[in-house]
Amino acid sequence: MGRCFVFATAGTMRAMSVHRRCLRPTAAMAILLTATWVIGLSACNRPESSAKTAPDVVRIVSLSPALTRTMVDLEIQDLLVGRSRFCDAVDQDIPAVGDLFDIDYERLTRLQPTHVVIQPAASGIAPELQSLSKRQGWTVQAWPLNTIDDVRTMTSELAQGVAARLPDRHDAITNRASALDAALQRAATPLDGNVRTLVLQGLDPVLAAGTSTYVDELLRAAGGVNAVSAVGWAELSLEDVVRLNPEVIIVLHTGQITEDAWNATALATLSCDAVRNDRIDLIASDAAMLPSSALATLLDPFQRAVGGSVSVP
Amino acid sequence: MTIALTASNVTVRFGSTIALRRVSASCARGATTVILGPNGAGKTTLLRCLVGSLRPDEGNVTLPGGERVHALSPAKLARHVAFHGQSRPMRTDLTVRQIVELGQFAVGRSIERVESVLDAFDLAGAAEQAFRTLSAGNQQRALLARAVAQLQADGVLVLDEPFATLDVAHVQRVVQVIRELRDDGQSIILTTHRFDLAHALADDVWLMRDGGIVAAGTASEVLRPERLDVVFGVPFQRVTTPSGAEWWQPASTSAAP
Amino acid sequence: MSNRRSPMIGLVVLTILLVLMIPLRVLIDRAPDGSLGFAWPEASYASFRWMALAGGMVVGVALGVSGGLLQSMLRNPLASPYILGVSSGAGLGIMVGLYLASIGRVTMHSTFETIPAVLGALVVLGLVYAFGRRDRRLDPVTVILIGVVISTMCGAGMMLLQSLVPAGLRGEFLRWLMGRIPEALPMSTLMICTAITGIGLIWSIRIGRAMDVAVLPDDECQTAGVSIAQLRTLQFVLAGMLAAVAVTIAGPIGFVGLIAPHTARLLVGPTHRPRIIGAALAGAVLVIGSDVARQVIDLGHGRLPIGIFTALIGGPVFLWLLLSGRAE
Repeated sequence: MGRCFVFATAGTMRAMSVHRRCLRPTAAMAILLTATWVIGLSACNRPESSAKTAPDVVRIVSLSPALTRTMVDLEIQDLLVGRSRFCDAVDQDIPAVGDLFDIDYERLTRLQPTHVVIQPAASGIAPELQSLSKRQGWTVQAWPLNTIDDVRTMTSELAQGVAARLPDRHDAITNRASALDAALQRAATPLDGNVRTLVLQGLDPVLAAGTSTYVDELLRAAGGVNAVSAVGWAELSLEDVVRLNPEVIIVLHTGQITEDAWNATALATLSCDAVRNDRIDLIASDAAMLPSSALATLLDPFQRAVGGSVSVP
Repeated sequence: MTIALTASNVTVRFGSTIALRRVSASCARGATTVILGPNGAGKTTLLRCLVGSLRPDEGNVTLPGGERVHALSPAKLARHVAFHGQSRPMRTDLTVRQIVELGQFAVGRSIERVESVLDAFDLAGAAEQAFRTLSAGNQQRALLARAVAQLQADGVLVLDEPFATLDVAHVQRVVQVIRELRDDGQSIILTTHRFDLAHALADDVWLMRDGGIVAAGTASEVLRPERLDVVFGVPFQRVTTPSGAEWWQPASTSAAP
Repeated sequence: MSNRRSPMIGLVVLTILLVLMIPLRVLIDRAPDGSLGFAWPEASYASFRWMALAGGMVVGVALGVSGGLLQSMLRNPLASPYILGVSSGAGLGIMVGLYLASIGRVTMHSTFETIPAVLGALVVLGLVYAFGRRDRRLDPVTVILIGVVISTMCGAGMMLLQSLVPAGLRGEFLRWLMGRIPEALPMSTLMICTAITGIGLIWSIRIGRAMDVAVLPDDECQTAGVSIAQLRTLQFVLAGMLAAVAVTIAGPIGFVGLIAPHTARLLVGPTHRPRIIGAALAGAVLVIGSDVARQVIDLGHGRLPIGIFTALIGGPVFLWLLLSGRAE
């Protein structure tokens, strides 16, 4: 912000030299603005009392749909007192507190959470949230979720943190956590497969999962080989699809793509092995949209799509 | 003769086009100088140099004290020249009176002056109308009035095509205003395509062609038929009014007002 | 039209509206269970309401004045602060930041995306300024064209980077495009932004009469005592600075910079001094009013982004003003 100061001072200096004529309405504006400021700012920065909750109470606000979904898997969604606008895996009556970019700080404060869990932006945790949490005595936990291993770490840390504060539910939560961890571990362990597979998340334009995505990890754990070698999500042309010539095409969707809808696309008539051999799998699941513990549930459908798949000559 | 503005060796280029080539001329104080010439002769470019809004590539335009006009601060310049350029569409809700008052931005406010100028240009009745709702002719009069409201005692009033969009009655009005200003000792430079008005107003005439002044002097000296034929490329004919005044006018247009 | 009306009436109307908005924003109480009421905020969260008010005021004033300056400078009623490319520059800055963070796995310790946003906005302003000059002065048509071209190029850059960052970051960026009202800014940031906005406002009012003269064609403006080159540079720098302040703390909130100056023109009249004050007031009223509206309207997913309301409230009000003004 240093450069803003440079601007400001340069501004004042030049203001002196240009056009000096007095003005009355400005004075009125200035007084109005200043008054609002003084009243308002006197209310800010007052040290706040920290959370008045008992040690064995856990009140979680989740600002990430993936974390919310994982809480559902851990069967601790009853601890959730606030959610982000985008968390639709839980009861929609749970108050929404905005999103990571525009947090509804007032509502967040009034919900008196003990934990605020987030999937941080690339630019880190907003300093406003950090300083507020310090004042209010909230624990902010942040997990970047780029790989299935990240998801495993998050799932077990989230479970441990909660279990430690709730002795009577400790065993139930840790049991759930280990079950999820085992499933996730399977989903992250690559098999030595060789079925060239294309995983699509959008049909028009064709959006395919490339390498270093969690979908790619799932695919390898299911015994497939990603037909796309690009890093990240890649937009493909129809020509690309033909030339990649995948043996299997998996289409991930949230329920909107039917067999008929697929047949109506240009993809359904492409000249490639997957189409010729009818090795197209439409997987309806919202688990693929979020890096949550629910990713493990995709392993079976992926294996079914890829496996048993000694490709027909 | 005292001098109001002097141009010496003024050359202006726009890219590869030479708009003015080494123009030198002085306009007299207390006189009306009319610049005539075909389209593209460089009249407007010369005016823009004279008022300091265009900096010549070579040469200078100077005030009697030797100050170069383009180097003056705008506030100083405003005291020496008042300029009305060829009108361009302006979409402003300012009233005619407010437009006229703009002329006094840098020269000090005088309500009486604004009132008298509004009267002189027959704008008193339209003073509270929004500028953009006026007809083209009325807009031009408002802008002329603004320039006149700015004019200082020893300043120069520079008008580019002041009659372009005016009707007959208002041409006479404006001619009247210019005459009165001149009679008060003000210096005026204007361009026009109206030979009758040039004759009626000019103390001096500069005849321009291809970026240069081909002749300068009194109207009767400069506006000779053999010269006009060459400069404008059309035949000219003599016109005589019942009052005895006479001048040369392009043969294709019908005569006298 | 509004010419014979005193500018004071319009200013008083806008001031009253602003003064009405303040208690509304402070007192409207949304309980976490969704119920609405009126209540003085408790100390633990009162600061957020005051900060939203202060932030909304700064953003509204900055956008309104910036738009007013640009509509005068560019002689174009469609000019808005974003025509200079400020928002696309800031957006590209953020995308570059996100991209670098995603490939380097670094964490930028900043007020979320502030620094790349400021940098992007300033770089674009510098480019538009450098290329927008003709005959040693800023040329309105050139500035608009350069602004549009650079915005478009920034847009292409954003799309490029967007296809390079992991899918998870895309939503983050799209969210930035909808804007926000800052509620928990660090006090230092708010103070700097307030200072810049205050200086910008007062300075813009000071050059109000020169802006009146600048409605004249360039040559006449110059000879009437206003250096058009200096005036335009000043307008450009002030407008750019104000827009950058707004974009930095609030993201690109649409519509305010376009509508506020027009509303001021319709309510206050054509002279620039009251018009700039009017644009500042109208901008603050629109932003704070929209913020009030989003406290009240909850479609089940918490508060909606502010940009939705500035356009949905500002648009019809503006159309009504425009059409009723024409009918007179």
